[in-house]
Amino acid sequence: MSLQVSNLVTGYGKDPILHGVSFGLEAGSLLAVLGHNGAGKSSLVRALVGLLPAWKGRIEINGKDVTAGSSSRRVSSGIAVSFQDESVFPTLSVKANLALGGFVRWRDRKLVAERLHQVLELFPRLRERYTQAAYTMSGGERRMLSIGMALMSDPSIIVLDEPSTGLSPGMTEYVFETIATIRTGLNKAVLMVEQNVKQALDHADRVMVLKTGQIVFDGAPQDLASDSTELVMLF
Amino acid sequence: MTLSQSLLPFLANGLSLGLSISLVALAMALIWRTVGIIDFGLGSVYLAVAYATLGLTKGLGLGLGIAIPGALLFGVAVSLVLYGAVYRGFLRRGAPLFVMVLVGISVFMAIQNLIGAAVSPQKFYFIDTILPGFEVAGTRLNVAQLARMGVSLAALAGVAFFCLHTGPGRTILAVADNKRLAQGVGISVDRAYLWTYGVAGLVVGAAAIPDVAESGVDPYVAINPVFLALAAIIIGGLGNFRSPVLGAVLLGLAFHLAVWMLPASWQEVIAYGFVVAILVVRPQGLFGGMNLVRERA
Amino acid sequence: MLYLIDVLTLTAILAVAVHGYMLIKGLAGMLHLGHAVFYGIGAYAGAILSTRLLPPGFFPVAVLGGAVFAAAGALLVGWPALQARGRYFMIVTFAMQLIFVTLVINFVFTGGPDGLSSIPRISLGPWQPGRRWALALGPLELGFAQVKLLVMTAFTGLSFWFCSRIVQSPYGRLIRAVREDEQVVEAYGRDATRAKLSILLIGAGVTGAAGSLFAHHFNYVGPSQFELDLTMLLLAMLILGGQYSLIGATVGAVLMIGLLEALRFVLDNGLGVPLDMTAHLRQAAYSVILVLILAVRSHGLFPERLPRLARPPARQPAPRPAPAPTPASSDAVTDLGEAVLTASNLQKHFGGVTAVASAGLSLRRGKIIAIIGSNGAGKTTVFNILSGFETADGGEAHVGRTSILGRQAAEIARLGVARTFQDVRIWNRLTVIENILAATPYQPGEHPARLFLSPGRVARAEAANVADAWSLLERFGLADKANHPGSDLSYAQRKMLALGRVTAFNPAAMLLDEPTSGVDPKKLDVFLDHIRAFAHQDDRAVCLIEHNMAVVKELADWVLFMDEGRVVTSGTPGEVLGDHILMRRYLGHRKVATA
Repeated sequence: MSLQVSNLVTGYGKDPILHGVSFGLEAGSLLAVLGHNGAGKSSLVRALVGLLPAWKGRIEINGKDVTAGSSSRRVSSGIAVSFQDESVFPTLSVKANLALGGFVRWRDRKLVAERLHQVLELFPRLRERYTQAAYTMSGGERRMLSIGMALMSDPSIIVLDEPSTGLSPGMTEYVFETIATIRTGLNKAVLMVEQNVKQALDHADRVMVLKTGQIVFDGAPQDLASDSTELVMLF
Repeated sequence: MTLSQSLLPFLANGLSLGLSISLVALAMALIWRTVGIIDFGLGSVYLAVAYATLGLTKGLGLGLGIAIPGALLFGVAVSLVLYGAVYRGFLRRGAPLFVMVLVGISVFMAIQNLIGAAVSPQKFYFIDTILPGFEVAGTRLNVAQLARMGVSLAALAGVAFFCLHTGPGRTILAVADNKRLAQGVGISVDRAYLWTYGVAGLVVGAAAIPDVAESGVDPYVAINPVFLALAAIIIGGLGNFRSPVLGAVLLGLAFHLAVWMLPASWQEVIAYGFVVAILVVRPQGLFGGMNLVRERA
Repeated sequence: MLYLIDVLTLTAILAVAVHGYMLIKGLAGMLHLGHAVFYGIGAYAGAILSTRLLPPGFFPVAVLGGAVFAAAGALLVGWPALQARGRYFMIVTFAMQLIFVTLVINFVFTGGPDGLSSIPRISLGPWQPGRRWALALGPLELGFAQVKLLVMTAFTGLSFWFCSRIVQSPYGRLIRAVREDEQVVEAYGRDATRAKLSILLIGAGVTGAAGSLFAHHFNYVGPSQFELDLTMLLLAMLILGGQYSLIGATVGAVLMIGLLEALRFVLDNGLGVPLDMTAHLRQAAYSVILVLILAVRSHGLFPERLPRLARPPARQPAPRPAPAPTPASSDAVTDLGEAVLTASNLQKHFGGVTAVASAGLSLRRGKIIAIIGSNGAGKTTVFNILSGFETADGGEAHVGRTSILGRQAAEIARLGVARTFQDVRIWNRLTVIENILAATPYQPGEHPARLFLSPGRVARAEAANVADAWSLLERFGLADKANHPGSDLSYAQRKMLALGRVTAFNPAAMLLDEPTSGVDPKKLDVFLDHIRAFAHQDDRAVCLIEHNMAVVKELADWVLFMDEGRVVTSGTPGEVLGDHILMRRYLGHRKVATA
């Protein structure tokens, strides 16, 4: 199991936002996390990457307990994130951005060079814009860059926060095709937070619904769709 | 005298002043963009380096060749100690911007006054001889002024190289650009802060030494450079690290052009009026570029 | 002995300056680094008035003059500075502080670098005491210095009274609400920028008066007296005593001077330190004290004291609030019946992304409309456009016959449109009942002039509003928390308070943004009852954004379904929610079992 979360409790301030979340994620699978605003999706993303310390529970990556420790240790254990907004380093070039994506593996030059080659194959547009500052690129290109950065450190687990939000339909298709390649071709475990129920059900092989900090559904997309309308609409 | 002949001396002086301001502005910008606070406490580092040079040359009788690197090193140490002993505690507890600004000003004023109490507030010089000068562009610039320009350019180039081509330098750029993402790629923000304070301390020292070589050392020498650095940041903007430097050069030129056109006593007022006008009309600065100033609440 | 009187006199004067600082920094939350400038303007104004313009014996006029000129200076700096964001205000005031001395040195009428000396002493009409003047009171003989101390202390008392009136008034409450969340203040029809400017002028005026007092006490003003270190001293006094408390501000001044004098005593007598060193060490001392207070107890010795409003004695049955007034500028009959708020073809783009492509609605009295759709469909953006928090790129919207697009949020609110926020946004450091009061419309006490000129009317209006507020809190079940700060409430109680607050404003149309999200399903019924009452009993036009379909089915008379910025379909809840083709489109290509 690439990622195993057990009874995760965490939040900001005094009240917890996540009330004991447990799930596992295997390599080669794509898990979509749904839930409306305030349900805890972005808190989960931050908690997984180490930006939000866990109050209770365990997080294991590839069998290793990584619950304690800083975000740099967490990222080194093999997890990477692509944020929904402010997802790149704006004044730095694509080249510098990608280099920073592989920060935790900087000592292994060969690995980083291989990953860079791979990312540029996956996103040829980035090669065109290689020396441009990130803020000059369009929203879709920045999303590509952000996902590319997440691949640079050769993680086992990739967390994508609303990868298709704010993109045109064509761009959205492209992003999801890429995610499919990452998941099957590169055999990564992908966790994707999605606002768009349609997209999530179409592309994921597993769906999880968060409501006020707890998992209320965890299973196949077909099962969710055919569940009572009430549950489906309560996102 | 032709227009350009009478103008050139002021341009040369303006450039020299502008470059000197740009170092302190860069140091302040480094901390502002990366750590997210407006740190007037850098004035303490300026004073520390100035008095260290004085102490090493006049007090211990060391030559400039040893005194200067010694003083610079001392400046870096002071900067790191201030961060570690004072600011970091406040930052860790999530102190808001206003509190951080007050702490910075208070540290600066405390150190300024302690020096004033310990050492007499009169002016001291660590270079007693008349400095040799050169005719450059129709004006007479002495060695210290030329050194100031040279050192400023070298320091700017050095910081640029450091940030663009070394590991620790790139973490500074990353944290300055997008702190959350920097953490998301595994950068240790605290360590980036340490590097930032170290580099800022070095750069402020590089600005201080040529300045005070010429104008002497007293407890109040740091106020003007700090204010001018803030002014440069306001005028240039803070979207990247080039803007404040350009703002500083522009400010230096404006200062000396004001002298060229107006009686000397109005020079400061006009230049500061320029600052306030920019604040009101275009608060993101002239060379904004990207409007992305990291700040605490 | 004379020295002690002198120190106490200066303390009394500085205390007045700190009162002014408390109004600006503590009450209004404005980050202000140039307070010595207001003090200096007042000092110079008072000095110039007394030495050159006023006949002898007009000391009180000189004090007033100091206040007026300082307020004028504040207007000059504040009006452009407040247009920009909080930290720019801080930078502008800091720049003003650093420039002030240079400016003053350059002007001739301020005496240049030498300043102004031989400023007349305090006086009142025919009473113009010389330095050796003395007052015999039986066995006691009061020298001039003692009388001057009494006069200054009286001014401190006067300033304390004046500032207390402000802090405890509806105006003070408004200023505190602006401090907590100024956007929400705008959503309830008040102009936040004007409020901030007014308190800045008042605070500056008080400080300018202090400056003028100083000029007449010390009989000399010079540029070096009003530099950054004075601002830092005043700030240290304010923060030591407690910046959110007027008593704190006063105590802070006394305490800080006490500490500094004790230090001076120790240095002079105990350690025999030379005089010029002592001055530096004193200045170093208050800088260090400031850092220590900020590290250990940043709200100072005296915390903010929230008012406790008493329940009115006669327990009347909770009256139903008056039905919402018709918007003043609408005609009685329009083509759309009793439509309060109408909008059509609204558009909004952010960069390359279209948030709202074409949206329209029509809100009528007594009816509840629900807007549903997935996140990112544009629902909150529509609310933001209608309430003036976003500008529209196209389309029309009207309240009655008045177009509202392009108007400020406060203006639209005053036309009768109120809204709640997805993230609640109550004013945390106001009490629960103050949250209601700060939203209540008719408050003459919110204008500082009326506060002092027609105190009777202010008191009557406030009493009536307080009584109504209590009734409202009882209606919403929050009466026992009335005097607790908003931050004490649980999430559900805060959502309830938000409903209470929006109805306290008595709007014709209400826009409720996810009013029940995150509320425990067991407590939902109470919320539903209240929302239904808004429409059916208070005759308001209600529009809600909802994700909970059960709530929509219960409450809505009409449903608008938005997707990708458009109102895709509309109808009764039964029609829209039972539409399977719609549901399939909503959910994607997977097969959807017939629900």
